[in-house]
Amino acid sequence: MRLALSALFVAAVFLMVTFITNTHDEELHPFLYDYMTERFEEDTAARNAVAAILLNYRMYDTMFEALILLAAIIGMNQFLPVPSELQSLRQRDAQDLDQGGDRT
Amino acid sequence: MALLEYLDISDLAVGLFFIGLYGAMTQRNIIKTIMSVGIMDLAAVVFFMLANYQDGAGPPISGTPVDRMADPVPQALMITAIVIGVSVIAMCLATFMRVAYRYGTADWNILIRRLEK
Amino acid sequence: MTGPESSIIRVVVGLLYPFILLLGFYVIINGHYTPGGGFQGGSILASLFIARYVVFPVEDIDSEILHLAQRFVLSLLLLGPVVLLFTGGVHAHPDYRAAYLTLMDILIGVQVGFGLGVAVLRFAFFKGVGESWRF
Repeated sequence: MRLALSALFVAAVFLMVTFITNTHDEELHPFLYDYMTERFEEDTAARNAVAAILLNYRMYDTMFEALILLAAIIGMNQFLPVPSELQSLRQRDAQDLDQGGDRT
Repeated sequence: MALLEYLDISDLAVGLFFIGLYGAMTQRNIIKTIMSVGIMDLAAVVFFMLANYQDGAGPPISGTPVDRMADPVPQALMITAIVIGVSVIAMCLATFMRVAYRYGTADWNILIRRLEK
Repeated sequence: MTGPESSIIRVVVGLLYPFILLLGFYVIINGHYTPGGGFQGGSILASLFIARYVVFPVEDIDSEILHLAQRFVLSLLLLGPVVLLFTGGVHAHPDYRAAYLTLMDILIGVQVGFGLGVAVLRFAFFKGVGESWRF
């Protein structure tokens, strides 16, 4: 019952979003595209537009994304339990098995 | 159905996003919810990269003529977005491992029951 | 996780290892010239750690040293543009712009490669409890 309701809700939101986007027609002027494809070779001596954008026009994005990667790896290192902590868990699980309790 | 003629390719990416949302709402296993969140991340990336599509365009390097170059801006922004998605999934999995080793289960309902005890 | 080890996979991965390393460094260093760059080459370098773990699951590499190297490279990555780019230094010497791009690409590639390698190794060599679970 809950699955059918969830599927109905998701399908309804999807149809609403599709209907709203396909009935509106706007053309946005590609201002960044014109600027960057004309000027990327004389501003930065790069022959690759994506590298010129990532390393010169949008350097802040690259720097902070490297910082996010490092923060995620430091957090992952801290959150994974160390094997010495698992020793106490192993003893507690063995006691529960001995007492024969059903842990639900 | 007449509806199928009004859909274009970027609605497929929106549909993938909503499939991921359905998975995050109804799955019973914690790992499957984490995978659905990852699917939502990547669906947003795919939708963004379909912007400013041009027929018969070449890669944005200095050899192709300027009026037939593909758009480099969405590609450059989505490189950052993919790395952020990977970082979020790594943190989710590390948190899940700690929860699972403390409470001994990977099921949402059993976990909630054990938390309330 | 430890089934019968296959010697075909071990030999073939051992043969392919230097070529993948070369491809990774090629994509990183030529990032400003052909499609590629720091992130793409860094992912190729990170796949080497995974391949080594799949073939030879022995805890040889100390992940703390890789983590230390990654943090040092990140500090260089954050200081470099502040000193070189934001003060207008690269714009004043137009001959060194290509060298600046290559240097930033190498730093990004090493950082991403070591970071993802640390993540994989830390998850893979994890000794835990498994006997008393009921799902």
